[in-house]
Amino acid sequence: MHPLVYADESQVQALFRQVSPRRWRFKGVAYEWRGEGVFHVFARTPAVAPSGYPLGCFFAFPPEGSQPEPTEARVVQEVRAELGSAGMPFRQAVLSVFHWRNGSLAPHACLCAPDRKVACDLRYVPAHSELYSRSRGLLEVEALERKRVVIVGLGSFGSQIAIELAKAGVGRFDLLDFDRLELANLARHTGRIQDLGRFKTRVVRDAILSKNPFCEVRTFEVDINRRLPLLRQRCAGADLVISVTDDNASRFNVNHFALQTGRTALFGRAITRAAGGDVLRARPGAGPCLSCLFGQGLLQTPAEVSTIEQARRDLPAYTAPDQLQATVQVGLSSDILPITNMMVKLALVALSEGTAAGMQSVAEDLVADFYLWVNRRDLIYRAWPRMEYFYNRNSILRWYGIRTQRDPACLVCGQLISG
Amino acid sequence: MDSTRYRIEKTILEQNFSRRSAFVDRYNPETFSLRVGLKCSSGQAYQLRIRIPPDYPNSIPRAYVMTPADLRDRAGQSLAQRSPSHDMHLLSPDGNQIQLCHYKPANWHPNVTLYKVALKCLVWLEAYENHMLTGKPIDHFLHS
Repeated sequence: MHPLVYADESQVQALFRQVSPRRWRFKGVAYEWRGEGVFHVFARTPAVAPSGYPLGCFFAFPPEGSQPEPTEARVVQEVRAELGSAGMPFRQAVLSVFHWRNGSLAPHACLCAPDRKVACDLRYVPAHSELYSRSRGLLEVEALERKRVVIVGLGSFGSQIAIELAKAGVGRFDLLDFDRLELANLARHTGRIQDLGRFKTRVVRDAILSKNPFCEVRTFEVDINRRLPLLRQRCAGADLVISVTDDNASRFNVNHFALQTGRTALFGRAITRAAGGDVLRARPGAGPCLSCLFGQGLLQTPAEVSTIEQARRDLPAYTAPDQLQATVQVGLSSDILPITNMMVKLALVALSEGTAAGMQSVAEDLVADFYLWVNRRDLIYRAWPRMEYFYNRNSILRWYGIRTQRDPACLVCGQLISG
Repeated sequence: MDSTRYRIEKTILEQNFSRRSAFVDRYNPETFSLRVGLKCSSGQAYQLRIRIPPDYPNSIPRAYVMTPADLRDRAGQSLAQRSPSHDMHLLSPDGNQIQLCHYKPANWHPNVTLYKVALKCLVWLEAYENHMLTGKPIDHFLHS
């Protein structure tokens, strides 16, 4: 098999539009996975820091009638001279040549080294319209790419949800979080070890753009509890608001502004040690809000405490350090993925509302606004029967839709909806 | 606090703490608070300052005892100096004004009103007076 060269189709088209008789060779950037024979070439440095190791890269669009061989030889010569004058030894470069034949661009690629030239297979990373074409039919891709989702909290929940929604074709994101990625986060967050220290919003933005470079992603590295006008503004501009923070004040603030601006909001969390979790879909005027359920005691199961900072926020200031530490009991990434997966499904149902997409049957199933998930027979689920071969009784690893109603005395949605 | 919630809070307080409560600095987010006078079953009166955060009722308000200033425990030690204290249900003070622990932050929710916060503070004050009589920590009364 020849080495593979991937080029962004839209970048190649943009370069081609700049071609003139005097200017038909362009310098780009390439990244290789050493020993794997895979190269990615770009006309300009990508918006998201790429993986792989950099090496030389050139694009050539020879005038009609010329052959690829002399062009490549000339390019190799020029590259060698260019690097030599900069005091750098010429090792190798990827050369992508595009001939205009019969009304289309015929691509060739080769790996050029001082003593050899290896032919490569050039493949396009498809243009915008084709990137998520496989989802067509199941989802209204064109409608989804115009939808804007606000995600508050880009931790282990938010990062998974954001990337899944991008993969489904959602096109616009506002990401709000002030935290940076730390070592303790790595086991459950989508961020990588080379992202340590970065704002989680930007780590997730890059992950989204790596899946779909045509997404529009705005990041806000703010504590929303101190930037309430910004939160209100973001909610007002959203099609859906998702709150997956680890403190109640921010969840209540999101609940407040989502209700005030008439936006559906999703809230998700894990309970202690991620023995289970719950998801609330708050539809203004159509179902209970976060405060309705909290007031009814449905959300007072202790939430999972995953960091010492969260323990400090949740517990009184007089709590002893060893007690604080004991409160931090985290579940596995695999314990929270079912919860984020459910939130993604509810998000896609909400975002597909009014379209003729295939989410209709899922919407008919997901009529509840509040869902419980059970991961293990632990803590409050300790007394549950074993799953074994039974399907007709409570067991772990299942979703339970809970019938809930608005609290007529709720001081939050009662006032905001009627007012 | 938005104007609708403000009206609700004011109405409830007027019904239950008529002429014993007043909002202060409503338009200053740094100092907006409720002053409320509470009287224990012993007849002893206390004045509290309940500091209202800018995102109230989504965040928990903080309750401080203004008068009598510098409350002391049965042994005569300043409660402000003993703070924060699990035994006495006290959070970090503001100068010599002790801060009462009225709700665990994780249990707070926006359907709790300032009236209920004041009632929970009254329960703390009753427990404090029992501490002064018996020497038992406040936690003993609040958990028994």
